[in-house]
Amino acid sequence: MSRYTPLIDQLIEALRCQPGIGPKSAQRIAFELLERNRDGARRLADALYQAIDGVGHCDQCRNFSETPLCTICSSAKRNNQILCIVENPADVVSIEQTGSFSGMYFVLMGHLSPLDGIGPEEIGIDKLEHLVQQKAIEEIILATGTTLEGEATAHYISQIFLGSGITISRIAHGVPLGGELDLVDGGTLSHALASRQKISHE
Amino acid sequence: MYVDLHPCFLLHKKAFRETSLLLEVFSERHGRVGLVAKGAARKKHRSPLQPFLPLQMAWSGRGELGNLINAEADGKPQSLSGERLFSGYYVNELLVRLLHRHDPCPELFRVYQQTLVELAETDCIDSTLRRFEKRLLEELGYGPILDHDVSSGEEIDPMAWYHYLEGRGPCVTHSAEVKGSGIKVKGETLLLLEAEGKLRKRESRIEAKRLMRYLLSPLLGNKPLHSRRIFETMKTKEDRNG
Repeated sequence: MSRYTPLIDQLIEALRCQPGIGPKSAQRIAFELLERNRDGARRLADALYQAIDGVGHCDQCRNFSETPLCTICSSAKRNNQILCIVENPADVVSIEQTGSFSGMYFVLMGHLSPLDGIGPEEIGIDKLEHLVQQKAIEEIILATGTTLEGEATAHYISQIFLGSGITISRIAHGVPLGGELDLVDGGTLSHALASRQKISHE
Repeated sequence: MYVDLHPCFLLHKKAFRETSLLLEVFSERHGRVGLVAKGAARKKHRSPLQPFLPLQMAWSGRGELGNLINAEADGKPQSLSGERLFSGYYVNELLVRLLHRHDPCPELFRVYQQTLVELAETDCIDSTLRRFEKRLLEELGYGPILDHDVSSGEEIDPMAWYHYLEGRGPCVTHSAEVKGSGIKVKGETLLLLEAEGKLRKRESRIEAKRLMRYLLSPLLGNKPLHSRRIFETMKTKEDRNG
């Protein structure tokens, strides 16, 4: 026997498709929307419909886009000789917010995970190779995560472009800005020491 | 049932429900076990739950899946990078695919520990991987015969050529051409595998790799190893770039 009416049941079940929403939260959201915020609910439903129909992937960088080429890929102001490779669209947003990168991106939409069967095809390596050849890229920045999978992915990509004359770099890992050394874990600290930088007096 | 803290390695983890992780663990005392780590996906940054890191783990529960109670780092992680990291994944994938759950194999656990240490340091990854594969086959009850000719019973002659038939063993051939099924392998390679020595010659490394792959394939069935596939595509692309 269901505790709710069939339509509420269906709504709660649908809300649970989001990460982080369990049965309790789904029930709370459903009741809130129906009880107090029917306008909001209608806007949410419309926005979902439009986004699902309107948002696809950029043909070039695989990021989310409403047009065949996303705004970054089609911009004339970007340096299209330098390519930054990231795992997720959220990483593009983070890097864009810093304002310190003006090149192009390639979004893998994941990372290599051999034991889950996620290989090069799943993260769009063919498309990446094609892009690098076509655009005469001069430098590739590997900005995948510092997890094991991120490292494996970075290594894989660096190997396939090795010897092609392209500069390949990996983003630095180390002590976070404003961080106290005693709170940094051992792995990060040894990495930070190994890749220390000389102070130049200029 | 409560299992107290003892040496373990994490072989694989994946997201489970909202905030939990499903772990494949290689335990010194219990062999391969599946555990649920409740809420572990939330504290990602502080969690010691990483593959190739020596851990101490405690859990409770009966049946197929236990509940992780505690996990602590127990030493330095093996810093596997680049190609060595893919070899580590390969070893983990073999264990996940081939070990039965709850079947203790302390000897293989020791070999695994040693394999990780060697993978981080060795100048010959092939020798380390071949020894691991041989010990894994022995643990599973499919240990290869490498010291005598199964047709004549004579000792292996390092200079002679053999063909190795799965389920039987090496038989001497009188020419370098092997007819029929099986894997062609030189006596000295068989002896090196038996002694778990270093495969210094390129030909020995190729022969040993093909032999071990041949012996493992019936156990793996027709589902390919993902780590092997990824590693091989990487190698072909690398060679192409020269």
